[in-house]
Amino acid sequence: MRKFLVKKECNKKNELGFSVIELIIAVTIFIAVMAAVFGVLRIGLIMRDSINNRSETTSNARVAINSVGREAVNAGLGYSRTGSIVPDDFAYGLLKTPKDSGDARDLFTGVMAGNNISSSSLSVNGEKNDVIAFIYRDLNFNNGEALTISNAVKVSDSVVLETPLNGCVNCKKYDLYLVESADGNKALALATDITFNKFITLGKNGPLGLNQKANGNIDARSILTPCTIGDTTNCFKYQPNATAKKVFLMSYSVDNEGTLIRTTYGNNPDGTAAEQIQKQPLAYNVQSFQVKYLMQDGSTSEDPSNGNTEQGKMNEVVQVEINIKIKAADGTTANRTQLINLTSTFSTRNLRYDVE
Amino acid sequence: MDTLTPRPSIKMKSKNQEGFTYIEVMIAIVILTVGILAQLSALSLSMLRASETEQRNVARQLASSTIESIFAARDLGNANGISNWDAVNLSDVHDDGIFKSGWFPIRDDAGQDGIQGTADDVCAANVNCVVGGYTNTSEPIIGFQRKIEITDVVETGVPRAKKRRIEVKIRYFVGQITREESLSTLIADLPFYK
Repeated sequence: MRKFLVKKECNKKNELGFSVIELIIAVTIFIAVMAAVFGVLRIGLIMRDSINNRSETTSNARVAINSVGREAVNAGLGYSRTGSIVPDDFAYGLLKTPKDSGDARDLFTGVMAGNNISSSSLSVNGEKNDVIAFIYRDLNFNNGEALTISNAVKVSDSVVLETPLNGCVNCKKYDLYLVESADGNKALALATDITFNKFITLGKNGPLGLNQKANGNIDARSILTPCTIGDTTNCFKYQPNATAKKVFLMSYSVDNEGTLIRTTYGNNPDGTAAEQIQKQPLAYNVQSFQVKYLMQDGSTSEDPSNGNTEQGKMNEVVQVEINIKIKAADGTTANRTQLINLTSTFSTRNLRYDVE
Repeated sequence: MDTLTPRPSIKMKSKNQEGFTYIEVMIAIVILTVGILAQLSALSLSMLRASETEQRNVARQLASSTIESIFAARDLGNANGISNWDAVNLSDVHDDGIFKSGWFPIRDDAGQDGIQGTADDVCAANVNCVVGGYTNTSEPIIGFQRKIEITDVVETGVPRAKKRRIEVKIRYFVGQITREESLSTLIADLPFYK
């Protein structure tokens, strides 16, 4: 080493440069400083990822919760304050809410509740998620006018509703209708066919299992009330001056993988019969989805209809409180997560008013 | 000192063979430091912004949730034809008013009445809200405070206010800075189904 450190001919001090030792010390210090700087930078990046994940997940939770909330606010709009008639255990088929005892027809209200229906792979301590469904009128359908039903006839097992000439130009196959008789009875029905802009066929069962079989007697033409006392075959009974309104029906539930799903029923004219139940994912990694109801008497309940045995109670809901817990990656490793917990309340202000 | 011994006796032919001077190295280090500091500051600013966005979104959610709860309060008791309109007031303004005025922490659990902003979920952060025999044990949501304002909308020829203006303010904290989100709407005493 010494041989390199011989005298230099240059005279200026600033041309002396660094020795190897100086260089080594400088490089060591530089490496130490840079390691510290990049360590801080790395921590910063991890934290940024974590905050971004959290922010994005919170945003997803808000979108999901507001989607439920918007429909909670609309629930019952232009529908029926007291609910409408559907086949026995129809809600079980759609929402997996408990079956009621007996085989009498059920009531389908503006809000339908299902408490602790199913758990998912993300559920903790066996907690089960809730289900909630909403129904409200499509105010854009037929320029806001209800369809006039001038007659109803039995064709094989189906009921065919008849409207005046061109009274059904806006009708589409698989429309979901609230059919209402002049005396105020109401039932839900799904159009399985529309012909001549005039006839609405309600085929037996239909894609949703909603349409009731027409029976053989004269009352079978009808739409709403049981044909005879004690008759539990869910036949239809026509009464003059009936009307029909198109309605939207949707539910929110969490599937086995922990995805919050919005499911819509009917109203898909371009789809097949099987496509009348459409599922749309709203939020992933949902650990828990819980709904609490405030009733008009001031009490709170997680299951106002008491396992679907007191369906009429659902008309007394004044507020739904949605709680959603979503897992978000924390940015460090794939397995570590942070939990986003969001609760929001929504007034069901349209549920108990009969708005035309 | 050996380490300061000049370099070998090679004749310098051009300036760029002379290596870096201390001044040059120091300038380079300063530039590097400024760059790294700028990057760190950009990173921390982006974190702060992301965090602020999240806080603001949560604040908005809390505000809209409270407004919805006030609407629900109006509809309580309507089944028996009893208007709950007087309850849609601040408790220190009207005897029947159920909402508490002033800045208070927000709790996830709205209490036994299910309505947010009332005595059973509004109290100081370090105590449980107690109303009668009921105790709300839920913890306040950290970093958020709420204030509800309800004022009558005076209309000519209407002796008793049939409309009120509701304003819900949510205060939240971003680092050391306090920010506020506010949401307001009108509520009307609708005719209800008897």
